Amino acid sequence: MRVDLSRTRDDKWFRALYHDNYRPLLAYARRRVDQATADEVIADTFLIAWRRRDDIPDEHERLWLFGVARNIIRNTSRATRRQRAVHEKLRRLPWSAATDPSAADPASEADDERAVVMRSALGRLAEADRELLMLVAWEELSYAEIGQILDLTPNAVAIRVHRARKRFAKHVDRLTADHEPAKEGRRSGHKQGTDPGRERRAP
Amino acid sequence: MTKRATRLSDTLLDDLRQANPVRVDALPSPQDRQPARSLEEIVMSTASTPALNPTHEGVFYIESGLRRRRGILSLAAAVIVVAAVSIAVFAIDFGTAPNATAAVHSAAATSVEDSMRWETRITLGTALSDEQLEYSIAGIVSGGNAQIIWRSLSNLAAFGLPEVDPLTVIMVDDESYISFAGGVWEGPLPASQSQFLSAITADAMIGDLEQVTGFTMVGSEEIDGEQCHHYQAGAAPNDAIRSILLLTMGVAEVPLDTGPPGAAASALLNVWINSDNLIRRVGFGDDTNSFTAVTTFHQLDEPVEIARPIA
Repeated sequence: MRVDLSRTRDDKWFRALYHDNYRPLLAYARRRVDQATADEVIADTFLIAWRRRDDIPDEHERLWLFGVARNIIRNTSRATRRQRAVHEKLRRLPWSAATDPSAADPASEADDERAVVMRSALGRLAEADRELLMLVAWEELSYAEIGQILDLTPNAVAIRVHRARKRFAKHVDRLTADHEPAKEGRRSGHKQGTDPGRERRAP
Repeated sequence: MTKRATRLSDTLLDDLRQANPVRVDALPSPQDRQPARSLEEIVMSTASTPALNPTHEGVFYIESGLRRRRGILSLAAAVIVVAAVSIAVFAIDFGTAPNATAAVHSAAATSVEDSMRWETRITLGTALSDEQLEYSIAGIVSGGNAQIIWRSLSNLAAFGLPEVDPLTVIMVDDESYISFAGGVWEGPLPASQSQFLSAITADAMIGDLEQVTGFTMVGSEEIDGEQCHHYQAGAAPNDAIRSILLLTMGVAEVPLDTGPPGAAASALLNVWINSDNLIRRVGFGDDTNSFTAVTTFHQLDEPVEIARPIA
């Protein structure tokens, strides 16, 4: 970080803090909530940082900001978060693809297949496990840094990450196994021009 | 054995890294217009709030959350507004509501309870028959979990449709399970389908009302024995309505005669609010009246246990 901690924490100091941490913090928020909520979380986080600038620990500004953003996200009501996720999902959902799965692009589908499985498996974890793995893999933080955010010792983080990895691996295996027959079904559906999902549902 | 396990785990995390949906370098720069303006607003905020005690303020924010604090303030403001509106509206006449949109939004904010039940009745024009297809979606949401039952009120066979009802959906801990015609449970469904279904739960539908503006007061009407204020606004079909229509198309394979639901030009949204400032009914219809959806809401005093279905 470029912030000179020896200087007074005036608006110049804060502007440097903002510029150095805006993108990582926005990425952190957008990985956890929809875009509109993420923008609000970032604005709220920096507002708190400005008002509590004397409390921000030297050398650990970003971790402190992550901790504040995490609290704000957790305090956002579950219903609001779910509702916004649905809005975002439906906004992006082409009607043709929503009603006709065969309209999906098989090439891009294949490219994203592993990523879809990984994200789906992540989504099936308990919140605590999910947060740990996201901090490790997406925020690329060390166990010591994660410990500062979650108020845990590095050793405790290591143990929890190990357990979370194991549970994550189980979900990945199950989803991968489920994914293969579904993919085969879709392929045969393409060939025949049918929608296998509907065939399965119809009594 | 240990080495192999370690290597596999690392591969797994590498794959997870690759699945990162947000790349930092693809995000807006802090120098962009909106972030830069946001920065200026934050820095300037101290000048306009000289009485703030940073330590106290910060502790409060961190422990309770800024949003919750704002929520409490908004709620307090809403109560005052609603009290003023209610007194004025109930005592005088319905055409002079000082701010009908604020009244609907405040009712939406206070109507979402942890446990609620609701029923949506839908009439829908289809290309299958001159008759309108009628069905209901009834549900309970409690503790973040939900159960939804889709039933046809029309003779589906007369429309040439398969008998899929009752179609039951159970959503527990963000996982959804579905059963057609009382048959075996399927699930958990993919997350995208769960999110799609969660748009039609009572809390999501009421939350949608906060996106709508331009309400006017229509009058006072009785709903299920309760005197309610009736508000109305023009609105495009919201996500709940889209989900209802897509669900219908998905389960009953209904070809709509109105084109894709998002393409409907305009519609009227009606909201009925009782004297406790609770939303009792929401009605939605397109401008050709080929589609109407009327939802009635009830807050429940006790939580209801909604468990995963037994396979």
